[in-house]
Amino acid sequence: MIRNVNTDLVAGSLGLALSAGFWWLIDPEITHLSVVFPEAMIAVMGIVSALLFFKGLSKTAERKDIFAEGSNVRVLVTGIFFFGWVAGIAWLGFFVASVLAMSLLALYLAWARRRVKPLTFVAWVGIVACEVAFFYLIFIRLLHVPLPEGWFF
Amino acid sequence: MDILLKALWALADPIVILLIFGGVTAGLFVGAMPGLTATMALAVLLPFTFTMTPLNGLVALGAVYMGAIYGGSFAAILVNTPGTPSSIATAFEGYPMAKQGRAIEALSVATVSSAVGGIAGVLFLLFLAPPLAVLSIRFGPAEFFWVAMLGLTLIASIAEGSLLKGLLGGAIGIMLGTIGVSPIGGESRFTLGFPVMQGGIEMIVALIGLFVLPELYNMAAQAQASLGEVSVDSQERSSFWRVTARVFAQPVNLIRSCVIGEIVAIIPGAGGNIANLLAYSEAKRASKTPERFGTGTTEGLIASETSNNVTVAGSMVPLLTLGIPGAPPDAVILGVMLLHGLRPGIELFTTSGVLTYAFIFSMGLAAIAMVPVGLLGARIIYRIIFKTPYFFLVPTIGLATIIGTYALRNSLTDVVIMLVLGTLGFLLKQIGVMPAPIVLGLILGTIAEVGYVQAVLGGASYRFAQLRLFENPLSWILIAMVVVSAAWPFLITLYRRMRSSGPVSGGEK
Repeated sequence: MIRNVNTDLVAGSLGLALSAGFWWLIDPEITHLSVVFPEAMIAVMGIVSALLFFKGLSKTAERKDIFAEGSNVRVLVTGIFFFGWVAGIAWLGFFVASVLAMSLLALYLAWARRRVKPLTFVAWVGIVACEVAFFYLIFIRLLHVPLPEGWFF
Repeated sequence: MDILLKALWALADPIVILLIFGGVTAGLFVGAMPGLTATMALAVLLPFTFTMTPLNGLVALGAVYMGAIYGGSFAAILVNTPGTPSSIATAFEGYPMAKQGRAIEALSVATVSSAVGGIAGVLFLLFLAPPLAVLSIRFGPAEFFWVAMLGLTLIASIAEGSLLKGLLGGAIGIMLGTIGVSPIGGESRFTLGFPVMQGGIEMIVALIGLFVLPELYNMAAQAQASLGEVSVDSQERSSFWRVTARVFAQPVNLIRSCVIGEIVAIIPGAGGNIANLLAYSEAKRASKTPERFGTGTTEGLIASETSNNVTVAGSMVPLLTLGIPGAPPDAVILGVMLLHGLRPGIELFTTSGVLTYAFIFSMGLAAIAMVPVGLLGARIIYRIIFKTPYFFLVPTIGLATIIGTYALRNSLTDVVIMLVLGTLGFLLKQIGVMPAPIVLGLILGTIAEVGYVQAVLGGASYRFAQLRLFENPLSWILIAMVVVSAAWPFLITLYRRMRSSGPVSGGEK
């Protein structure tokens, strides 16, 4: 996998795409007062991005190894875990989803370094449940934050 | 004088001392948790103060406020996550120190600097409240716009590597800040038709996502926590007296950071979130070794932590004298004062003088209490984080960030936004667009927009409405500061080139 990338060119292209995207999203019927500042900032972002883009085409372009540290698969799976965790909160409720997501994420990450015995994992689930219960009680009882409820509570 | 002595005597009550230590400890833990802000801590404490005497209630609030702003440095140093927006710059130096096995040293430096800042803020409040209050009401929309512009020039200082990428990050942050209902026109912008996006992107949501998520992804990728074990050498350097000596060995840095913190504090709406970045930037600019910033220098850490703690008592200047909350947590304190029949103004310093001065002194005591509480807490929290295996640390920090983000507005949408921004932040970091300029743009963009549009509206009767931005002498001073600040890197480069070419030409002669 080629990881050495012209970061100026990538950042410039991304900035130009973002500028175009924001410009396209401006509602033509919106009043001048609401749009004067964003328009000016889109212009600034466009100019900066264009400068970066042209720098990327020049000999002084910055090149860098990206995604070069550690396992990218673990990054991807961890990201999926986080998004799944939040989806689970909406469905199963905060407590159950958090215990499930945290236990499975801990198991997955630990697997990179060692094998986990079933009994060890069961103990981890207990530790995680206590941890989540601690946060749950603080937020529900002390801070009066109504955490999302799901199938159970 | 009689009032001051009575105020000091009022603090001799053991209950008050207990409230100060308890408040600082509680504040420290709240501040150390990403997403839980000082404002939230005070709001939670508010109902408990109803049953207290006015002095006890105010003392507890002041101590929690002081502890929460200081507590933000713990998360910033140990997990590269500013616990509160006031400790963004703390992460720039504190986290590299922690990675080098100097976590306790960084926490000790932050503790002593915070105590110095807290005490300095109290002294400003005691001795300079009237003139500073007059200055604070001179800030109008145009001045706010220029303050925001001044803040944006900091990008040159905090952009790691490429200035252009720093500017791009700042512009992205500003644009993220424009999502939602326009602060002046009241119309929806860039919401993609989703009603939930009308509330916009909360600054703390972005802060948590952009700083925490990339760090968690890094830990997961490398299958290890990035905190280094404290070396024996660093442990020796972390002793209270040695750290205190090192902090006070930088008097100019301390004084400059205190003054910056106080000036920012008296501007209503601005606070530790801007002060710490400004002080850090100025410390870097004034340093003889600016290239070492970002690698774990105590100079930057001292500047950030001193300035943000000055703002705690400093922001009370407009509150106690004019009734204008300098920062959001001050609004809670104002509420408690009004509840107890205390009205801001001259009466507060005469008729209710004992209570007011006792409250001010209690904040000074809270700043001192931060030293024992902080130094002990630092060691305990460090050990917990260091000893926790990375495969538990990642989900635990994830839990804290998810619950902290959710609690801001009881919104799962905020949590999704945090995750999306964090993931984008991780990707942007790979190509050199760092999170700090994005957050800075988000903080200052809204201030700049409100200031600009209000000033232009105020100048509607002029031929060119924008002239309103250049009308006042205070604006001129700020404009001059913006110009100097923006041109500074180029001036320094020019100066160095001229100096380096000097001996060569001399040699040729």
